[in-house]
Amino acid sequence: MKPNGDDRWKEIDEVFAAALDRPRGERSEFVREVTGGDVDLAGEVMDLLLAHDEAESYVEGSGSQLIARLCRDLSLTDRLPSPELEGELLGPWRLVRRIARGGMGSVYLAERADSRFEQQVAVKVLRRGLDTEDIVARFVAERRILASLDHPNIARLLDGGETPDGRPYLVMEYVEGDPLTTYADERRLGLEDRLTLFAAVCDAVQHAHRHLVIHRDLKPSNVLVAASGEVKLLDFGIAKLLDPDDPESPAGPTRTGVRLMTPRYASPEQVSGEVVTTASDVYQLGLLLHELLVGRSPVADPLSRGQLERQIREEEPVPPSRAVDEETAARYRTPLARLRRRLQGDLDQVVLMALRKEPDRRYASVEALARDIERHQKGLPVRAAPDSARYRIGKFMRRNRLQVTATLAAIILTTGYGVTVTVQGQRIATERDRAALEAARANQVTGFMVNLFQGANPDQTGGREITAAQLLDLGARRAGAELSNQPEVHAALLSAIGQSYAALGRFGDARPLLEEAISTGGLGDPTRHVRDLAQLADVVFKSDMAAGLDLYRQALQHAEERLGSLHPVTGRVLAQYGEALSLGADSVQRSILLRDSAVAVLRRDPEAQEDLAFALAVSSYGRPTSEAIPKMREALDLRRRLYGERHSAVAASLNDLALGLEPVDPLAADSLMSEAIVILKEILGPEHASTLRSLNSLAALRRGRGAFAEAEPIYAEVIRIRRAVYPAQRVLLAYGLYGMGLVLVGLERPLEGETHLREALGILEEELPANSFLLSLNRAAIGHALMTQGRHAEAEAFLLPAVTTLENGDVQPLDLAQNYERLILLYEAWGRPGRAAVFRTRLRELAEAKGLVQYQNPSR
Amino acid sequence: MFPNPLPNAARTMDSRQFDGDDDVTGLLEEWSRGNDAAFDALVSVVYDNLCRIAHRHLIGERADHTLDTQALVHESYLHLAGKPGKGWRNRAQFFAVASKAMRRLLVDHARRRKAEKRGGDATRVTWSGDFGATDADVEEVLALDDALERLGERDQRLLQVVECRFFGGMTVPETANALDISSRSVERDWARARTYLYQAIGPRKAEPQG
Repeated sequence: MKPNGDDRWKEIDEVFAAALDRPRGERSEFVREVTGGDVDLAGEVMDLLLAHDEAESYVEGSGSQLIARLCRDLSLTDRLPSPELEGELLGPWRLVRRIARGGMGSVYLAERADSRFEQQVAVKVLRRGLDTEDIVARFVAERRILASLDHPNIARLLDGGETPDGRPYLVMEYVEGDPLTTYADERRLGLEDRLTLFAAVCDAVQHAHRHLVIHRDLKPSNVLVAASGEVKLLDFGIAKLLDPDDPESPAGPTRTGVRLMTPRYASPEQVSGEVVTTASDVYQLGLLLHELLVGRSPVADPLSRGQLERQIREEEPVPPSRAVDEETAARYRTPLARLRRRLQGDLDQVVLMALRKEPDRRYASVEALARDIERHQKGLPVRAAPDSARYRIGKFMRRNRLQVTATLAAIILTTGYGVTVTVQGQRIATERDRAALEAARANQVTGFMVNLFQGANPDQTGGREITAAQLLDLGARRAGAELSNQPEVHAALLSAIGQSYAALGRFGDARPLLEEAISTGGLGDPTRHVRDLAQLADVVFKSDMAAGLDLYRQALQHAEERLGSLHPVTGRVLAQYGEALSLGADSVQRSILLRDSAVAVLRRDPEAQEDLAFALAVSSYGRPTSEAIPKMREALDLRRRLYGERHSAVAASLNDLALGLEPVDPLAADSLMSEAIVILKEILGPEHASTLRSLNSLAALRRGRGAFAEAEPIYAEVIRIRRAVYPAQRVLLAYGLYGMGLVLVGLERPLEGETHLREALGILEEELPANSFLLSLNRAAIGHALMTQGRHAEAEAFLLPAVTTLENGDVQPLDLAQNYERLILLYEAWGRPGRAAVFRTRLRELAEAKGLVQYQNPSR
Repeated sequence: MFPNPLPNAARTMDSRQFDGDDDVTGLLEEWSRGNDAAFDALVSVVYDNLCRIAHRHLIGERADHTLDTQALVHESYLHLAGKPGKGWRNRAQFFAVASKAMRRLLVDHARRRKAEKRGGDATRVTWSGDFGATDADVEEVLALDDALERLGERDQRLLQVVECRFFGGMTVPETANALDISSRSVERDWARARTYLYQAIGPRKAEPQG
């Protein structure tokens, strides 16, 4: 204990005690919240929480026996079942051997002692030390519930009583079988057989519901299938009677149920602690069906309890037809494409309807769910219907009041409602009218350009060669004077020159031209107007994100109103807007939605291949590698076909693909990125924003694989150019500084590294919202730099809170793993092996949960 | 080294003055009326009793200097409380007292071993009980005692829970019963107390300053 005043100690103890009452994953967040700005208090409590975890995982034999004894959870010794029940007699039942050991007690295989007839049973005995009132009450409730149920697919209750030392036990039908999903997969059952099994499960649950019992914990391991193919529903341990007189039944959420549920199989209302009804079982049956059809749960492995709950409450499950892969198909022994076709439509709808977030929008009963399965098996259409467009729009509007119209396009496309014919009809009509006008205008522009090139004639320029950029400058100067009487041509020209400037990376020159072009309101060319708006948004976004997003919103609104939701230019704007949103911390979902609808819109138009390539490229951002890489490759192929090898768009695709490939093949990534940079330097110049971005990425790739010496000069180049040419883009500068800082630490120049990292942090703290995970990454990096200088306490002060924040946020598992590793190194260097052990455990768990092979080596 | 609330007489090995049944019954009544001094006096009664038994065990029967705490407490219980009419409410109540006495016994034992410093293993204390044998460094036992004392100054109940669970080997329900609190509270207090003690004497006690 540290020397503190007793009042201070009481304060610390109070927070510590309250934190221990929270679920483990929420503790550090809780401490942060209640301690407010009192960092010392938070630190003391975090120390205690660490000591608590450490004590809990203290390995016996690793040091002092006294401490080992202190750390051993003495209550465990209370909970051991009385010496061994094996061989004991409980009533007429002789316990043969223990077959399972669960949270509440052990299950034994037993047989009749009088052996007049052979009967094997399962005996469930409550654990010693758990015989507190509420647990005994629950055990008794299970007995009452089972006694009320009599169904061939529910394991039957045969007997019950109390052990000699006063613990209650249940005697149940012994079921020898495999969990539902294992059974189906091991036998390579086809779709029909799986549905038949599932129907039997529904039947059992229905029976329970008719007897006012909600199971509340349906999951594969609670549904066994015997070798004979007979389905048995088990474990009504947390089931609840729908007794109208039950005081907890009508209003009070059953907190015990919430605590005891299996988190991954919990329904949204269980997670939120709301009233649990039969609809909860419908949901869990939906999960079960999904897992039975696809081979894995639609609920992904979470990093934290908070993330899991958010996922259950908010994320829409992927329909089975899209979730299946080759592995699934192999288990069915069916070609993947055929399996997909079988699942698409009806079965997708059935699963999604059972899995809806709102209990009252699921199937009204298990019976209704079962009937739909039956209808499907008979080839009749199912009753389940996709969410109505109206509902989804309403829901979306509630969630995001922004860009609702854009989503309309997404909805129409993704739900397969087809095309609104009128929109297209209109477009064709106006297109025809416009053709004549455009021809006339084109002549005028051509005339102007001819003049311009004549102006660039060597005779008139004194023999100097004129660059395209100079030509543009010339055009920009002359346009106002020579075309003032032709506003439409003038606007078109301003637009063209503005776009060209932007393409050259001369954003400051592009902006006024684009603004002027936009101020004309498009002048009869809505397509150009929208393009200009989007281009301006892009330009503005680089220096002022909020203003840029606002312009994108306007661009999209104009596109929707004046071109229609399915116009390829609308698709282009969707993709650009989606790309911009993908950089925001809290808009990733919206961003993906926009980008996906962009791809869908643009695929419809064979003329829009350029934009499609762009949309494909940006739609890969922020996705898992396996999803992203095919999109990137498609984009790269499209672009190579369209432009040949030497083109900035090809370079952009090479850049993206390199980043996507990094985790799989870092050396291939390096060469692709280098290839991109050669093209970019040649076409856009060494100081162009895109060139810089790829340079930064190349440096990061090299840093990532530890090639620090090769990374350093590249970071230096990036930072130098950014400071000189783009002083306003401070966040991008900070990224460069951050990378350079880490490289310097890697090169054993930690003091220089720290300086870079602190400058980066200073910028990010000013530019990013306080909860951005980038801040945490940056702080953690500073901690790392401090550690390598032997400044352990300071290092911990940076690293530990950063890791806590990362643990509680949506962050790449790799980032978290890396920082666990840093903490471990820190504590080892500091001579605190206990704390190192705590984080080694967390790292191992994370690595296993997320399949981070590089961190699974137990020696680390 | 640590505050001793007991009168000196109560700590002599051969004291018999509290052994009388009437004394115990009277002290139990006092204690139940909330008199903490009575609790301390009870502890000393049990302590004396434990010491006598331990002495016999260590000198007479055991050569390995291992204190079998469970056997000690059990024997003491039979002697002081097991017979009817002794006024003890239940076994748990006796154990709460015996746990404190057992702590004192172990610590005194450790001190003596330290003073004796005979032979190679003289600086270790071994005792056995419900959880198997524990072989601890004398200094460690004394450090734990110190930490406990400080813990008790801050929160008496945390101290009691540790004594019951750690020295008395009492189960959670027994501890709850003896201290008249819920099992859940015992579990929570235990988790906290253990953390504080671990922080005080655990492997990181000598933290280098970064």
